[in-house]
Amino acid sequence: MELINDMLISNNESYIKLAVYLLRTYFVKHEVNVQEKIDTLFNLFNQFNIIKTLCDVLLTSSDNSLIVYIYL
Amino acid sequence: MLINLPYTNVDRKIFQIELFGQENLIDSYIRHLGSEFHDVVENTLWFLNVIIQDSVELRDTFISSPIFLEVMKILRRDLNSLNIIEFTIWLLSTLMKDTTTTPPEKKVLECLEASAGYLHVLETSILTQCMWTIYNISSHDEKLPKIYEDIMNSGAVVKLLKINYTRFQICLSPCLRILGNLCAGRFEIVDVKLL
Repeated sequence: MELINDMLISNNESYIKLAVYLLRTYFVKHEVNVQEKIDTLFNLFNQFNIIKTLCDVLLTSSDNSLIVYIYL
Repeated sequence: MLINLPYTNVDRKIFQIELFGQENLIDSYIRHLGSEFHDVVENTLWFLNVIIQDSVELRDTFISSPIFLEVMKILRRDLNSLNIIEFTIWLLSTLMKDTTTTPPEKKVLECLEASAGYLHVLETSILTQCMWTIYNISSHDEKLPKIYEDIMNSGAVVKLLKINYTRFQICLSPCLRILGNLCAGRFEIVDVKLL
Protein backbone atom coordinates (compact mmCIF):
# COMPACT_ATOMS: atom_id res chain seq x y z
CA MET A 1 0.00 0.00 0.00
CA GLU A 2 2.93 2.28 0.71
CA LEU A 3 4.24 1.62 -2.77
CA ILE A 4 0.82 2.35 -4.27
CA ASN A 5 0.66 5.62 -2.40
CA ASP A 6 4.11 6.56 -3.67
CA MET A 7 2.96 5.77 -7.19
CA LEU A 8 -0.17 7.88 -6.75
CA ILE A 9 1.82 10.93 -5.71
CA SER A 10 4.56 10.40 -8.26
CA ASN A 11 3.30 12.95 -10.82
CA ASN A 12 3.94 10.26 -13.41
CA GLU A 13 0.70 9.57 -15.29
CA SER A 14 1.57 5.94 -16.06
CA TYR A 15 2.41 5.17 -12.43
CA ILE A 16 -0.78 6.87 -11.22
CA LYS A 17 -2.87 4.86 -13.68
CA LEU A 18 -1.18 1.64 -12.70
CA ALA A 19 -1.69 2.35 -8.99
CA VAL A 20 -5.39 3.12 -9.47
CA TYR A 21 -5.93 -0.01 -11.56
CA LEU A 22 -4.11 -2.05 -8.95
CA LEU A 23 -6.23 -0.64 -6.14
CA ARG A 24 -9.32 -1.31 -8.21
CA THR A 25 -8.44 -4.99 -8.58
CA TYR A 26 -8.50 -5.34 -4.79
CA PHE A 27 -12.18 -4.44 -4.82
CA VAL A 28 -13.36 -6.96 -7.37
CA LYS A 29 -16.09 -8.76 -5.52
CA HIS A 30 -15.75 -12.43 -6.27
CA GLU A 31 -14.50 -13.72 -2.95
CA VAL A 32 -16.30 -15.22 0.00
CA ASN A 33 -15.40 -12.72 2.70
CA VAL A 34 -16.28 -9.54 0.84
CA GLN A 35 -17.15 -7.57 3.97
CA GLU A 36 -13.88 -8.47 5.65
CA LYS A 37 -11.97 -7.58 2.50
CA ILE A 38 -13.65 -4.18 2.13
CA ASP A 39 -13.03 -3.38 5.80
CA THR A 40 -9.38 -4.35 5.50
CA LEU A 41 -8.97 -2.19 2.42
CA PHE A 42 -10.63 0.83 3.98
CA ASN A 43 -8.52 0.40 7.10
CA LEU A 44 -5.45 0.48 4.90
CA PHE A 45 -6.83 3.48 3.05
CA ASN A 46 -7.16 5.22 6.38
CA GLN A 47 -3.70 4.19 7.53
CA PHE A 48 -1.98 5.33 4.35
CA ASN A 49 -4.14 8.36 3.64
CA ILE A 50 -5.09 6.88 0.29
CA ILE A 51 -8.46 8.70 0.03
CA LYS A 52 -6.73 12.06 0.30
CA THR A 53 -4.33 11.02 -2.45
CA LEU A 54 -7.18 9.76 -4.64
CA CYS A 55 -8.98 13.08 -4.11
CA ASP A 56 -5.90 14.86 -5.42
CA VAL A 57 -5.95 12.64 -8.50
CA LEU A 58 -9.67 13.39 -8.99
CA LEU A 59 -8.91 17.09 -8.77
CA THR A 60 -6.21 17.12 -11.38
CA SER A 61 -6.92 14.26 -13.75
CA SER A 62 -8.65 14.69 -17.07
CA ASP A 63 -8.32 11.01 -17.92
CA ASN A 64 -11.91 9.72 -18.09
CA SER A 65 -11.11 6.04 -17.59
CA LEU A 66 -9.03 6.88 -14.53
CA ILE A 67 -11.84 8.98 -13.03
CA VAL A 68 -14.31 6.15 -13.64
CA TYR A 69 -11.98 3.62 -12.01
CA ILE A 70 -11.55 5.77 -8.91
CA TYR A 71 -15.31 6.01 -8.45
CA LEU A 72 -16.27 2.52 -9.55
CA MET B 1 -13.43 1.92 -5.52
CA LEU B 2 -15.07 4.82 -3.72
CA ILE B 3 -18.56 3.47 -4.29
CA ASN B 4 -17.67 0.63 -1.88
CA LEU B 5 -17.66 3.13 0.97
CA PRO B 6 -21.15 2.34 2.35
CA TYR B 7 -20.25 -1.32 2.68
CA THR B 8 -17.42 -0.90 5.14
CA ASN B 9 -17.69 -1.12 8.91
CA VAL B 10 -14.71 1.20 9.25
CA ASP B 11 -15.75 4.67 10.45
CA ARG B 12 -17.10 6.14 7.22
CA LYS B 13 -17.28 9.68 8.54
CA ILE B 14 -13.52 10.13 8.20
CA PHE B 15 -13.72 9.32 4.51
CA GLN B 16 -16.93 11.24 3.93
CA ILE B 17 -15.38 14.40 5.33
CA GLU B 18 -12.29 13.96 3.16
CA LEU B 19 -14.37 13.31 0.08
CA PHE B 20 -16.88 16.06 0.62
CA GLY B 21 -15.24 18.57 2.89
CA GLN B 22 -13.06 20.40 0.41
CA GLU B 23 -14.51 23.11 -1.75
CA ASN B 24 -12.19 22.39 -4.66
CA LEU B 25 -13.32 18.77 -4.68
CA ILE B 26 -16.91 19.96 -5.08
CA ASP B 27 -15.70 21.76 -8.20
CA SER B 28 -14.25 18.54 -9.57
CA TYR B 29 -17.53 16.65 -8.95
CA ILE B 30 -19.33 19.43 -10.82
CA ARG B 31 -16.82 19.11 -13.66
CA HIS B 32 -17.38 15.35 -13.79
CA LEU B 33 -21.17 15.76 -13.75
CA GLY B 34 -20.88 18.05 -16.75
CA SER B 35 -18.62 15.64 -18.63
CA GLU B 36 -19.45 14.63 -22.19
CA PHE B 37 -18.58 11.06 -21.31
CA HIS B 38 -21.55 9.11 -20.02
CA ASP B 39 -19.41 6.75 -17.94
CA VAL B 40 -17.93 9.65 -15.99
CA VAL B 41 -21.35 11.23 -15.35
CA GLU B 42 -22.92 7.90 -14.34
CA ASN B 43 -20.16 6.99 -11.92
CA THR B 44 -20.02 10.45 -10.37
CA LEU B 45 -23.77 10.28 -9.76
CA TRP B 46 -23.43 6.81 -8.27
CA PHE B 47 -20.56 7.87 -6.05
CA LEU B 48 -22.36 11.02 -4.81
CA ASN B 49 -25.40 8.90 -4.07
CA VAL B 50 -23.54 6.40 -1.93
CA ILE B 51 -21.51 9.00 -0.07
CA ILE B 52 -24.52 10.99 1.14
CA GLN B 53 -26.85 8.13 1.87
CA ASP B 54 -25.98 7.56 5.50
CA SER B 55 -25.33 11.11 6.63
CA VAL B 56 -28.11 13.64 6.92
CA GLU B 57 -25.49 16.37 7.49
CA LEU B 58 -23.82 15.56 4.18
CA ARG B 59 -27.23 15.41 2.53
CA ASP B 60 -27.98 18.94 3.74
CA THR B 61 -24.55 20.18 2.68
CA PHE B 62 -25.09 18.60 -0.72
CA ILE B 63 -28.49 20.23 -1.22
CA SER B 64 -27.19 23.68 -0.37
CA SER B 65 -24.08 23.29 -2.55
CA PRO B 66 -23.71 24.05 -6.28
CA ILE B 67 -23.62 20.29 -6.94
CA PHE B 68 -27.39 20.14 -6.44
CA LEU B 69 -27.87 22.74 -9.19
CA GLU B 70 -25.56 20.76 -11.47
CA VAL B 71 -27.55 17.58 -10.83
CA MET B 72 -30.78 19.36 -11.73
CA LYS B 73 -29.08 20.69 -14.87
CA ILE B 74 -28.39 17.12 -16.00
CA LEU B 75 -32.13 16.49 -16.25
CA ARG B 76 -32.56 19.56 -18.43
CA ARG B 77 -30.01 18.32 -20.94
CA ASP B 78 -31.07 16.47 -24.04
CA LEU B 79 -30.40 13.09 -22.50
CA ASN B 80 -30.13 9.89 -24.46
CA SER B 81 -28.75 7.80 -21.64
CA LEU B 82 -31.38 6.00 -19.58
CA ASN B 83 -28.71 5.14 -16.99
CA ILE B 84 -27.94 8.80 -16.39
CA ILE B 85 -31.63 9.61 -15.95
CA GLU B 86 -32.03 6.65 -13.61
CA PHE B 87 -28.97 7.52 -11.49
CA THR B 88 -29.96 11.19 -11.31
CA ILE B 89 -33.47 10.41 -10.09
CA TRP B 90 -32.01 7.81 -7.73
CA LEU B 91 -29.86 10.59 -6.26
CA LEU B 92 -32.94 12.79 -5.83
CA SER B 93 -34.63 9.90 -4.08
CA THR B 94 -31.71 9.61 -1.66
CA LEU B 95 -31.80 13.35 -1.03
CA MET B 96 -35.45 13.13 -0.02
CA LYS B 97 -35.18 9.90 1.95
CA ASP B 98 -34.18 10.92 5.45
CA THR B 99 -37.03 12.66 7.23
CA THR B 100 -34.98 13.60 10.32
CA THR B 101 -34.67 17.02 8.76
CA THR B 102 -36.53 18.40 5.79
CA PRO B 103 -34.67 20.13 2.98
CA PRO B 104 -35.81 23.64 1.98
CA GLU B 105 -39.26 23.55 0.35
CA LYS B 106 -37.96 25.03 -2.90
CA LYS B 107 -35.48 22.17 -3.33
CA VAL B 108 -38.12 19.56 -2.46
CA LEU B 109 -40.44 21.02 -5.09
CA GLU B 110 -37.64 20.97 -7.67
CA CYS B 111 -37.11 17.27 -6.96
CA LEU B 112 -40.85 16.67 -7.16
CA GLU B 113 -41.14 18.44 -10.49
CA ALA B 114 -38.18 16.49 -11.90
CA SER B 115 -39.38 13.08 -10.77
CA ALA B 116 -43.01 13.69 -11.76
CA GLY B 117 -41.74 14.88 -15.13
CA TYR B 118 -40.08 11.54 -15.84
CA LEU B 119 -43.11 9.39 -15.02
CA HIS B 120 -43.90 9.29 -18.72
CA VAL B 121 -40.69 7.32 -19.44
CA LEU B 122 -41.92 3.76 -19.62
CA GLU B 123 -38.78 2.09 -18.35
CA THR B 124 -38.98 0.10 -15.13
CA SER B 125 -35.88 1.38 -13.37
CA ILE B 126 -36.65 5.04 -14.12
CA LEU B 127 -40.31 4.70 -13.12
CA THR B 128 -39.28 2.98 -9.90
CA GLN B 129 -36.79 5.70 -8.97
CA CYS B 130 -39.31 8.44 -9.77
CA MET B 131 -41.93 6.76 -7.62
CA TRP B 132 -39.57 6.23 -4.67
CA THR B 133 -38.57 9.89 -4.91
CA ILE B 134 -42.19 11.02 -4.82
CA TYR B 135 -42.92 8.61 -1.97
CA ASN B 136 -39.94 9.98 -0.01
CA ILE B 137 -41.14 13.51 -0.69
CA SER B 138 -44.62 12.64 0.53
CA SER B 139 -43.08 11.45 3.81
CA HIS B 140 -42.05 15.04 4.63
CA ASP B 141 -45.68 16.02 5.20
CA GLU B 142 -45.14 17.00 8.83
CA LYS B 143 -42.73 19.79 7.96
CA LEU B 144 -44.34 20.57 4.61
CA PRO B 145 -48.10 20.55 5.22
CA LYS B 146 -48.91 21.47 1.61
CA ILE B 147 -46.82 18.70 0.09
CA TYR B 148 -49.83 16.50 -0.77
CA GLU B 149 -51.40 19.33 -2.76
CA ASP B 150 -48.05 19.90 -4.45
CA ILE B 151 -47.89 16.22 -5.42
CA MET B 152 -51.44 16.33 -6.79
CA ASN B 153 -50.67 19.53 -8.69
CA SER B 154 -47.49 18.08 -10.18
CA GLY B 155 -49.59 15.73 -12.27
CA ALA B 156 -47.84 12.72 -10.72
CA VAL B 157 -51.00 11.01 -9.49
CA VAL B 158 -52.75 11.10 -12.84
CA LYS B 159 -49.63 9.61 -14.45
CA LEU B 160 -49.36 6.96 -11.73
CA LEU B 161 -52.90 5.82 -12.36
CA LYS B 162 -52.35 5.51 -16.09
CA ILE B 163 -49.40 3.12 -15.82
CA ASN B 164 -50.01 -0.48 -16.80
CA TYR B 165 -48.88 -2.33 -13.69
CA THR B 166 -49.12 -5.74 -15.35
CA ARG B 167 -46.15 -4.60 -17.40
CA PHE B 168 -44.41 -2.71 -14.59
CA GLN B 169 -45.21 -4.91 -11.58
CA ILE B 170 -42.14 -3.83 -9.64
CA CYS B 171 -43.48 -0.25 -9.63
CA LEU B 172 -46.69 -1.24 -7.89
CA SER B 173 -45.21 -1.11 -4.39
CA PRO B 174 -43.89 2.50 -4.49
CA CYS B 175 -47.04 3.59 -6.33
CA LEU B 176 -49.30 2.16 -3.63
CA ARG B 177 -47.14 3.75 -0.95
CA ILE B 178 -47.55 7.17 -2.54
CA LEU B 179 -51.30 6.73 -2.87
CA GLY B 180 -51.41 5.33 0.66
CA ASN B 181 -49.67 8.39 2.05
CA LEU B 182 -52.00 10.67 0.15
CA CYS B 183 -55.10 8.75 1.27
CA ALA B 184 -54.01 8.58 4.89
CA GLY B 185 -53.15 12.25 4.91
CA ARG B 186 -55.83 14.27 3.23
CA PHE B 187 -59.08 12.52 2.39
CA GLU B 188 -60.71 15.59 0.88
CA ILE B 189 -58.10 15.83 -1.87
CA VAL B 190 -58.28 12.13 -2.62
CA ASP B 191 -62.07 12.33 -2.76
CA VAL B 192 -62.04 14.93 -5.44
CA LYS B 193 -59.14 13.83 -7.58
CA LEU B 194 -58.66 10.11 -7.15
CA LEU B 195 -62.11 8.56 -6.70
